[in-house]
Amino acid sequence: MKVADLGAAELGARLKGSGLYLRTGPFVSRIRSSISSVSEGIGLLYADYPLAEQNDFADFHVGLSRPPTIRRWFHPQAVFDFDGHVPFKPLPLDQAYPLFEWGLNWCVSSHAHQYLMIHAAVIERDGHAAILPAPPGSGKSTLCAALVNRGWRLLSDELALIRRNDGYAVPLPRPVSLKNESIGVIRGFEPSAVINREVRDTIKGTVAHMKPPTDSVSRANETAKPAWVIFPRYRKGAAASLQTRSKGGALMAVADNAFNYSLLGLAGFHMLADMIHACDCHDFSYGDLDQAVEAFSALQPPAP
Amino acid sequence: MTPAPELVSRVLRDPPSAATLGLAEWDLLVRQARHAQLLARICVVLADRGLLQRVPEQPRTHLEAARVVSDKQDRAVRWEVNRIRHALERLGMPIILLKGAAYVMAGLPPARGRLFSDVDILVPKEQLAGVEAALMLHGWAATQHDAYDQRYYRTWMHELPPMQHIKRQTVIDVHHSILPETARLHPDPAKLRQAAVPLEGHDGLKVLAPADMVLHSATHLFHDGELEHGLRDLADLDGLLRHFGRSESFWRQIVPRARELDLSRPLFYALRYAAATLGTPVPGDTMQAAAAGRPPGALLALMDALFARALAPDHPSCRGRFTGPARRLLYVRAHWLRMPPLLLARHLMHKALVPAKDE
Amino acid sequence: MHRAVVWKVEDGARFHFRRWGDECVAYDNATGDTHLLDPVAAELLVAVRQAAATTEELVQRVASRLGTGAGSDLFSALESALGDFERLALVRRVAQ
Repeated sequence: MKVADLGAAELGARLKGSGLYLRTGPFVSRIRSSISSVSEGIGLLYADYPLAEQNDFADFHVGLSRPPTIRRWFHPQAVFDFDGHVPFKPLPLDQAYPLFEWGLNWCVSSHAHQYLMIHAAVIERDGHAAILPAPPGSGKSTLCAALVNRGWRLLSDELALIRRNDGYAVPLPRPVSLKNESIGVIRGFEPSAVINREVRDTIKGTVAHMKPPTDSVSRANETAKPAWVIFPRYRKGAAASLQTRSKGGALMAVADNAFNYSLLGLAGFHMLADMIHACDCHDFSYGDLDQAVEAFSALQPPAP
Repeated sequence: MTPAPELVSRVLRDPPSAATLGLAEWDLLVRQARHAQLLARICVVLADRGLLQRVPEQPRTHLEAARVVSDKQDRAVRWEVNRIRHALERLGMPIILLKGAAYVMAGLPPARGRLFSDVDILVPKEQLAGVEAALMLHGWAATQHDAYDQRYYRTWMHELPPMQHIKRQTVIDVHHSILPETARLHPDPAKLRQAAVPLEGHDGLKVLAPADMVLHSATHLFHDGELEHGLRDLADLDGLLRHFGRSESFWRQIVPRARELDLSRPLFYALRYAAATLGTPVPGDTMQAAAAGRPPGALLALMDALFARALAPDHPSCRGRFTGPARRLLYVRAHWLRMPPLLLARHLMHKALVPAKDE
Repeated sequence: MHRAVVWKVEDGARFHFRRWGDECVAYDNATGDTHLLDPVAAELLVAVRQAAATTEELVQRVASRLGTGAGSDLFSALESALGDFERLALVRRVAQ
């Protein structure tokens, strides 16, 4: 059963009641909220997502609610809680949906240490995954949104999950986060993309989320072996260009962008070194999405 | 609202009972244990008995992930102790490790699956200034910038204000005693230092003798007001008692040693609540002798009621109507125990008037 | 009177190396830090891990491993690298 099969009324009722048990990649989240923008956002962006088969275990119990303080009357707020624990300050009620997305990212990145977790987008073609680690502002999400609208499969736009036993990337397809100008850029690049209502004045500026391709959601259990580590960098007017990056430098940069590299200790070092060893590593600068798509389609997987 | 069953202490007391839990109970257990900071401990307890592979995959993943964090903490503490040892080398005196760092370095059961990062050390009071200066020279700095807090620590407490390393962000607490000077009980720190035992394979490091380590842990939990992780600390006590309790002489020594250090009351509570909550095996004659530290009947009934709530995991499913008040009452009690009433009134007044700083 | 400094690594087994061509990455299992080393620094760490030694002895070891001369350039490069290593707690000075 999928979220779309519930209908808006039943979806809202579950969120308000005992919770919606939503499956995203390897995780089940139990979500509770009486905030309408959260319910609408989930209804639109998670329409293709499966519900958990059973409602007796959830990896993350999360809630979005309005704190019951005097402020609720003149500055209404939304608060995210992880099973009663509140990891972030409340935000204006209008930002409840992005807060939900950020909260779920936090749940995964602070708990799922069965994986090496890298702050990176992951996309796949012909069984080969490209890991796109990048600090905010590098245009990683925009590039990822463009590529998944041109034949690449979305594994994740924020969180690369590398499995510890075999180094494969485990998909966690979720709505793609777009900020500021990239929202308009992606609307122009792919008019059929489904993007939810823009929320202004958040800590990241104006944000919106793009619904992932249906195919990426339905293939969320197909893992892929990393073949490329590519550090994207958007530069206005730049021609698309791939430059080889040295493996040692790539390892250090990925470690800097990992959530739990240091927690994993020696095992994390070997996992990361194995991944870097098996991948071609590049710096990629681009100024135009069509050119970027072309450059990516020319990528050849490394010789085994 | 009826509190849900408390599953954490049930599994710690009787690990094989984990095999009978359904997935919905595992869901609750993982949540309770996470709030109690005992998720990694449960992983270790089940793994030691070969029971981990029988845990359904979803909850097992969470247990193992928590273990990753506690293993990292273990490595971090070892390195931190190495750095502290390095910083204090020139003072030429042994450093006595307390609490978590002692458990890790001595390889004691409570070290396994524990989530903590602070290091506590005990030094003679007359060495405090030298220790503080040496730590500052090696990158540690005071964390309490509020003048009131600084004075509070320096005047009334049994430790320097916590110091944090500017690069590693790790925290060290330097104690000269295990209870504040204002407390009603007065364990003599010289006796603790005298009995401390060298740590094998680590020159210049010591840990408290077994009985003293148990008494310190009991004092910390039942006399010191830190009940946020009451069940975790009780589980530490349980681990120590089971480990040291394999030697008969430990049980013969513990009660007289408690009397000698003026710590009979905390020992009584420790044995009583560890046995009741976690099924810690305590020999009958030791329990009987420890009853010398028993409070008067009415007070004991009150303490039983308060601790029963405060020692449950701090999770919404375990919160009865009185848990919040019970924790607060015990906090006031712990402060009352370590400060004379006038000082306490001044302290609580200050805490009430100064808003907590944002994190 | 000038006393020679002796450098040593505590618990040499704590370092794990991976190499790609000229590049070497060292993971320090004691601190949890990862270091990217150039060929000279990598040989230096390997050499000091082998056995405690003075700077002069280390220059000899590194020179023979790299197949170069033990000139003053190498000496000053190693001296500065040892200072960095000390700050990173990879090596420590011990009394002669």
